[in-house]
Amino acid sequence: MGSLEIMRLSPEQLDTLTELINIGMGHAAATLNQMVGAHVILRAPNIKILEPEELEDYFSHEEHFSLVRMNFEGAFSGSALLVFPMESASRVVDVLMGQNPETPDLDMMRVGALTEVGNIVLNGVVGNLSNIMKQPVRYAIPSYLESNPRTILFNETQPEPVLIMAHTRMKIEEFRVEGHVILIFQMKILDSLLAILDNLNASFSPMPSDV
Amino acid sequence: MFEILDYLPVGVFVLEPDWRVNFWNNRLEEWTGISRKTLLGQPIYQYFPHLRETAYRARIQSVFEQGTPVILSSHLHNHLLPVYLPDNTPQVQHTTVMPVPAPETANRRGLFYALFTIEDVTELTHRTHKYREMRDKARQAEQTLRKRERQLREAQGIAQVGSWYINHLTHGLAWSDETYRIFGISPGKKLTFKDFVRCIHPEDRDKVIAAWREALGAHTYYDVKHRILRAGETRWIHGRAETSYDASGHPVESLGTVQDITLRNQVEEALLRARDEAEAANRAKSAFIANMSHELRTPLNAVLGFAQILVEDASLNEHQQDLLRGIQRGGDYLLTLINDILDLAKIEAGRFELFPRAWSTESFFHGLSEMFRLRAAQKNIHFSYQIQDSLPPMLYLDDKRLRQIAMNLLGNAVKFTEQGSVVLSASHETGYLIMEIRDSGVGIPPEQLSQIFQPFHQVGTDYYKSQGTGLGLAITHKLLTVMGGELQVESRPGWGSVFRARIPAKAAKSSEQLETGFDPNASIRGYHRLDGDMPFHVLIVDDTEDNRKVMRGMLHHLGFVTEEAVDGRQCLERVCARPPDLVLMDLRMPVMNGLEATRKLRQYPKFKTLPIIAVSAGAFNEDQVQSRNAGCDGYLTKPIKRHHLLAELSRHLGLEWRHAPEDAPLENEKPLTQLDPEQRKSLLELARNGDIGGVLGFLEKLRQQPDYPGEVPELLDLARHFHLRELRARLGEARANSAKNP
Repeated sequence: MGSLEIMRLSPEQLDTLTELINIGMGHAAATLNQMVGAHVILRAPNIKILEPEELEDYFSHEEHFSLVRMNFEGAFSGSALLVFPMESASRVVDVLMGQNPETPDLDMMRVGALTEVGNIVLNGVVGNLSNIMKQPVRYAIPSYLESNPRTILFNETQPEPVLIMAHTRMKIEEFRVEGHVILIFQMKILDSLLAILDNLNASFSPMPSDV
Repeated sequence: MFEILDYLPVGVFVLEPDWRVNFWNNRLEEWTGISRKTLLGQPIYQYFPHLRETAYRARIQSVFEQGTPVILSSHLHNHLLPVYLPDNTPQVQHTTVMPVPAPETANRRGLFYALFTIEDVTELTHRTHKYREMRDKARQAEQTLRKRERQLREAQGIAQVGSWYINHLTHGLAWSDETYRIFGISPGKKLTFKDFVRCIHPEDRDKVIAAWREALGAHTYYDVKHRILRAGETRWIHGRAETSYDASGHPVESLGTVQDITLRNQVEEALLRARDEAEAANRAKSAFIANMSHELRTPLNAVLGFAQILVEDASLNEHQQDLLRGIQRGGDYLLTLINDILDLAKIEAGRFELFPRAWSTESFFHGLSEMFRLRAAQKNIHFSYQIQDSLPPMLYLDDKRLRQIAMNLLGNAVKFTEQGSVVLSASHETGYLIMEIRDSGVGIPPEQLSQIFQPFHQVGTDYYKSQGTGLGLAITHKLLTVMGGELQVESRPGWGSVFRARIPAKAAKSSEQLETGFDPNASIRGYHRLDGDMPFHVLIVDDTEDNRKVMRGMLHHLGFVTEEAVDGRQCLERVCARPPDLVLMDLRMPVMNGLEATRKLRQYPKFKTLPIIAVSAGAFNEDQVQSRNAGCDGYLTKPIKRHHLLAELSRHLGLEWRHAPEDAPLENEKPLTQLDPEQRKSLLELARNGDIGGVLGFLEKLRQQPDYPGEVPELLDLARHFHLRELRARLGEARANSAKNP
């Protein structure tokens, strides 16, 4: 696949991207914090650029996940997913509400709350990228579904989709849960994103970087 | 611009980037009661200040500035705007905020209007809650069921009861874990009814299959105890089952239990053996008692009988008379002791019988108190008795046993009281006779209270352990227990004791007369035949020479003619040869016993009405019952008491007793003269030497005098009861009195 070389980001690029996503997550954590009055930490220590086929390594076919999806378009089009394993998703809501986790059921009330959590996290991440790129973005309403990320990607209609997958750790008080934030872009958007990141690095760097 | 949103079933409002309300739809006017006209152009936080607070402010601001959508879920926020439902509960809301690009004006470039869409999810939320409750309940029920199943399994293990199930359509058999264990088969193995049959002990197979078929055929419970072979070992099991049937009566399924009862069977067998052994031992004890009774009473009969005969012999001198009375007293005491021991043994052997009857309470308690008033007076203590109004005139109860109880308790009270009083009171409440005996005697230390009902136990120092067999309280206590009553004791050493007997007793209406127990026969010296002058002819049947002699002596003394037989057969011969007026029939005799002889005699029409009085040394009332059944008219126990014999004779023969002309006047008419000092001194001397015979002889001689001193009967009574100490006190005290009042 022709895009493979491009996807091999330099360590600097990867660091900058990781930093950007974590800043967005920081905003989201702050919002959750204010909203529920609980101590929330969101981190994405590990970021990978993947081709859709590589999702197999992370999400097995049979398994269902709790997904919040938000599409966006404009100069900067794509889709953002917050993915939790089913059994963790319900607990996230209970712990945020300060309740003892009672059941892994995801009823209408928990689904609503989970969509809001996804809304906050994805707003943070995507909003921060949008700010950096100085590109206005139109967002669709976030939606909730229980499915496998691979199925979503399989139905992806964008040409040459590429993924930024951020392994995400969420900590609410004593409770820890791991999930993923997946950003799906067209290859060319990733390219321009990387170009901007390089510029950013150059402008922040005390010494001119070698090309 | 937004008017079309008035038609949506959701609450919609639009804020401009400076928080001013741009639109407020009909639904919101309806929900909040705030009109669009009022709100338009006003900052929303003037009406809903909470929207500027942390939880909302930044997120709404991001809609204005960055155009990010915002979701405010019902679970995390309950509602965005307070809206109250008719029942005053707040509406539950799910809110979506979408950015709408603001019209391009100079200062709003790149900014967004915020379009709020509020869904009413109250009903949905309630349904979700209800669903959660239902689900939780179902889960709990399931957990409870699981727990019960586990408990049942454990219980089956503990109780060693297994269960099984058989489907008659598929012939499938299901066993619980415990059932597998009972049959010694590894759990989980698939089984059929045939497998079960194979486990049954070969000798029991037909029986079990027949019972199973019968239960299914007759639609009854299956309930069979049988043997099985478990790894070659024979075990007993108890199988039970219930079957359900379809409309046409065919069995559908059976649910059963199986219990290993091997151990229980063994225990039951051991218990049965133990019970049989205990019963055999008890029978042996009873037989021993009966024999002992016979063996002890027979020689006593001779001793007491001859003594009674000799006492009437005017040819004996005073000294001989004294010795004779000593023999009588010793024999009486021995007889009391034997009777006490027998009573106790009979009660313990469960061979004790009660003969309840109606009797007059007044004469009973009067007689009793007269007896003890005298004894109390001898000790110079006060005696009184009170009958409460609650006591009915007649009671239905075994009065002989009650008398035994009362005499024992009163005897003790008087015995252990040196000064003060003894009070007897009787009352009746709710079906119980309450008899209370209160004394101001030595009392019983608390630590000894629990022991006083033990046989041969007396409280106090040896000083007080004077008379009695030591069995009295033990017998009283057991008697009361047998009668369904109880005995309470309250006591304080130095203050006295209260014994309270509580005995179930119904009030009786019968006017049956009470036996007074007084012996008016003492002075009888002969009889007068009502229907002629010929003396009565009595046949004495007894294998023991001494016994015949005793009765012969008593009867001759009264003027009867006697004949004798040594066994039942000889009795029949004598009766046939010369029919007597009355037969005294010993029951235990060789060759032919008394019962058989009586039955034989009764077969002759002419002897149907011949009075036959059974005489027995037996300890049990069985003898009395048997003799009555055999045809005897009366019953006497050995040793024969003269007054009992007289009573039987007068009951069956037409006669009037002739009393001795020298009958002494009654005691309460005695002139109140006193012993002279010489007499007193001699008596005291004798008493100090412990010469009871001497004391008695001296007093008896005094009593022969026409106007003997008034104290003599009391002193005699004291001496007869071996109350030497009191006797001495009495004599000493009396002397002191006479010294004061010469």
